[in-house]
Amino acid sequence: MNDKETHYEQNLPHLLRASIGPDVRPAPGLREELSRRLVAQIRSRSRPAEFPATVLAAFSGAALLAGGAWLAAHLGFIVAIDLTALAPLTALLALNYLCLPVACVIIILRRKYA
Amino acid sequence: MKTDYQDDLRLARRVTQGETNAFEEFYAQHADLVFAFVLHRVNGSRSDAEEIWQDTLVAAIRALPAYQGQSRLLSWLCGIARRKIADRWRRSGRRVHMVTMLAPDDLLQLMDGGALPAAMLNQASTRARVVEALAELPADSRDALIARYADGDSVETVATRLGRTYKATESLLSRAKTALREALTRIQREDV
Repeated sequence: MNDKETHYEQNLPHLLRASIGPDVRPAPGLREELSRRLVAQIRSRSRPAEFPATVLAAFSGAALLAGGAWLAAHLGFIVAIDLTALAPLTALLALNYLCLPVACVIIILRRKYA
Repeated sequence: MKTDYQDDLRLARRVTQGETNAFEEFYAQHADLVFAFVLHRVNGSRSDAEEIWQDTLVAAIRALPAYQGQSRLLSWLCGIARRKIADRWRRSGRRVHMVTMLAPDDLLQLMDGGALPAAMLNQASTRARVVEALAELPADSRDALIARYADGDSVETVATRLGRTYKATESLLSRAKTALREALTRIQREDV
């Protein structure tokens, strides 16, 4: 090691201690406080906005009304063509058709916005 | 997008996604250095430094999704700190110049020539320049230099902290010293 490198090595600890040593660090209390603040800031940003309950209720209501109307039309059609014997079965089928999409939509929305 | 600082970019992405461990890593690696940078830039005024430091990190977390890894994360944070300092001086109508008695360009020359004069060590612009130079190093090199020389830890302690062997730590420290020297050469004097 030449003189130049030796001097550099000898000066480095003094220079680093003066620049980033314990005396030039934030107070521990303040450091902790800011850390908590930043964690809260990150959490509030990474959490998605809550899906408004009123929108979900309105959506479910509309789906039920539409389903009910569809079911009524279906039953009306059965009665009109006088296939009353098949009506209970058809009604059950229609109910299945109605429940499935509504349930799926609700599950998707809950997963996305929980 | 190809970036030069993939490790920093990955860390920033993880922080943005709300990973607690990533935030702790980010904070441990950067918070103290940003504070030191600000403190030197405001000529050692702790009250000013504390406010600007907090504003800087709050703004940084907000802007983190925009970080593209085109500079070291710490350099990027120092850039935000510089703007916060300038904003503060503009708002308060005062401007603090770092007292520079010796040209920072002389730093390496003085370091190579013998014991560094106290005037140079005490100069805020010298200290800020060292922090900026550290900001250009990879996190492990930076951590090793700080632990070994600023905190005075033994090589064994640094090795344990970094999870490396003694030999690997010695070699990391040697590379880090050279890298710091090169970084100090690159950094030009800048006004606050």
